[in-house]
Amino acid sequence: MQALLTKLDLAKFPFTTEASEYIKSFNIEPVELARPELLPILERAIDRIKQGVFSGKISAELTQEDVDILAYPTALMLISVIGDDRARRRFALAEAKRAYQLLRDELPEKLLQVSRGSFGWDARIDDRDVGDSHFEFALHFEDYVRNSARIRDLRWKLVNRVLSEGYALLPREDFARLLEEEVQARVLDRTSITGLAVPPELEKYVDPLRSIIRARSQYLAADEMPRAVMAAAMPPCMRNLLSLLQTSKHISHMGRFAMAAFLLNIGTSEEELLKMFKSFTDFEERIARYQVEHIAGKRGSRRKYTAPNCNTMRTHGLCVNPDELCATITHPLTYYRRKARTLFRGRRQRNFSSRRRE
Amino acid sequence: MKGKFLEYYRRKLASLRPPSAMTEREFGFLLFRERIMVRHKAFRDFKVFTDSLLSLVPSDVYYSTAYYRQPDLDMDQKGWLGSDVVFDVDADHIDTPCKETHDMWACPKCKETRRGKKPTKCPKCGNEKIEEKAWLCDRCLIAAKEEVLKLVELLAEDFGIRSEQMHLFFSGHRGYHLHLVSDKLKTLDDVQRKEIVDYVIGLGLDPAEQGLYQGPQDLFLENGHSVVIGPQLTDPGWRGRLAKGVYRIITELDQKQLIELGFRRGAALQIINEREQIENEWSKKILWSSFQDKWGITDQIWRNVIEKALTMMALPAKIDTVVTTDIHRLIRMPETLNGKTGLKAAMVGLDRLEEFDPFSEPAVFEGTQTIRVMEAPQLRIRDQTFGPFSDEKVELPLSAAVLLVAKGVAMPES
Repeated sequence: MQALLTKLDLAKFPFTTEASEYIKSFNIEPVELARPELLPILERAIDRIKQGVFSGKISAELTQEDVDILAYPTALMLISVIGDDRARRRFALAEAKRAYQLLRDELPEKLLQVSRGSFGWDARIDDRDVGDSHFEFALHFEDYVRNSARIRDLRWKLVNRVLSEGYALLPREDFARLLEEEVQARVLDRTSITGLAVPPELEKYVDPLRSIIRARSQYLAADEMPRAVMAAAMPPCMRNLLSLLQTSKHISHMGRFAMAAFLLNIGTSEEELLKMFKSFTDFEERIARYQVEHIAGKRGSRRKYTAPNCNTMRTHGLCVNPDELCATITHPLTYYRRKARTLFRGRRQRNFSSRRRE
Repeated sequence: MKGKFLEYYRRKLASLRPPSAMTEREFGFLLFRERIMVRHKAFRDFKVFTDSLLSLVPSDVYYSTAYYRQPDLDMDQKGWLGSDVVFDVDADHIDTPCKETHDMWACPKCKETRRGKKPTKCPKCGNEKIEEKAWLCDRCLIAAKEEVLKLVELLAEDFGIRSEQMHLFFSGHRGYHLHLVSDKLKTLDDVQRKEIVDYVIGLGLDPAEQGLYQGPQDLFLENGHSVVIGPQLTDPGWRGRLAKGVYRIITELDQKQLIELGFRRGAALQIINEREQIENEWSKKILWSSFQDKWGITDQIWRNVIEKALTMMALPAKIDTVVTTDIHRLIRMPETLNGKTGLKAAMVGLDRLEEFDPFSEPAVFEGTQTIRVMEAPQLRIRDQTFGPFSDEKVELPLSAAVLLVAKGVAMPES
């Protein structure tokens, strides 16, 4: 069932193990890319990055096979040296989307070759009908969850798949979609080295690209967390936990953790938090202080804990009365930031109008 | 207590086995008197471990489900290499009716101890910090065992986990721990593990994704009713399990339970009367459309039926999901004693789970002891039952005496 990848395939799928072997055989040093006969590679790489970062899409069209193949590692190198994380992520996603587009039209044998040969998947062609669904692939659940856990749609939860003796049965489209996740992870991995410098010979080509990417980043300034704690911006899950706390009702361990981490994340001080926790019937100052400091990252792992995301909240039965805003977010902190922003805006406007009345 | 534990460990040292990849695990000892956990311990070899065990004589022994490059360093410097997948199935998370009668509470201030649900404050001294004392009883542990059987079957059928990869232990208290040993699963992170947990508890299951849905609007049966498409008993994974759940609802529930799901009285009665015939037909093929048709199944009944089928076929959603998703967790070391009961966290072969008795093999102490019991429900050790007790002095087999003292409801009499 082994399907060999042709040179055309390597141009389509330059992230494969076969492609990197092929690329190695050229033995090109980065400095050499400025040579006139290799310049098309550099230009194609820059174009790839521009497409990926600015339109979020990299064209699946192929120009000249060798140029396309070699432009891929070149683009990875450039995006690494530019060192803008937001652009790097967007580029990785675009590369992955391009791969998905091309992969889903391939024959099952070829998809299987890419999945096994380049990503070590435990997969096989299964061709099975269950009810009125047809599945072409069987993929070990471990490889499945490694890649599906990042996809948000409920359809991708393992519980919504047909699992048989360790293998998830999948249609071709979904198999290709999971490969997209692998490609994205690989691009991110290969571009994660920091502190690289561009050879001076390439500087005049890279510099304009770097400037426009920087400009873009500054434009997209990050969502900022409001400085003071805004009770009105709390998501329903946290409001629920807080009301349980205020009425001295029992809250599970996970519930306490979620609430403590959330409150610390939005800027509540440890002392304030301890005061709030005093209402627990099993409150013990020494232990509570330890736990709070632990969550705040002062003890134990010294890792500052982030409040659990919506999925985790649901798993532990802590997601209650989700509202409209909840439907658009996957993390209680995102809810808080967005709500805080709209509330803040509203307040500013009100202030403005009242001042006018004066 | 400490003396009895020491005596036991001395006697049984040879039967203790090191966990796999012992040098990569972190160990923790909970100390008897100080009640503090000595953590971040690592052992080069098993001899050093047993020496520590005999010198510290902890009430509880834990090791990490995780493997680390350097288990004795601080958490962020240990160098995580992987972690076993562990399920904790505990009677605490299963609603058993007997809990009301045997669970107790105690006031740490005035020592008042009573049976039943924990009050908000002590009726005697008004103290608001009340300790809950969950009891362990046959019925609760049987309920836990049934869930374990369900879990083992599901992991084997759907996840293809072989029985030699599943190591099951009695926790020594109110439940069981199932460890999965697999190099492939070792490196899954918490989010990925949660996917496995959600599968096992059926969380987020969409019936349509599991093949149960109303057919297209323009597709009708000859009698003008809409078409329902559904899974069959032999389908793999949740499809078959969903089908089995509905099959069991129709073939096993009594009239009252059916009415609770929303069936009309007449329909419920009819289902019960025609059971034999339905079983016959359905064991070959579930006819979903006629199922909907015949018993007037509304959308609300559908939702209830699916919900019920899920509860019957999935693990209770209240199982301790954190144990499975936490990749840095310490878990009780198999074959050591549980400080809450004095019972041994005994290894249970999957093939003998059905007949495993948590009150026989794990009751390891020999001899008798006289104790003063304040208040305790009935308990059983091997073939003998004792109690209930209320403020009395009794001579009991040592295992029973240790259990009551460990539970904090009795004091040794000198």
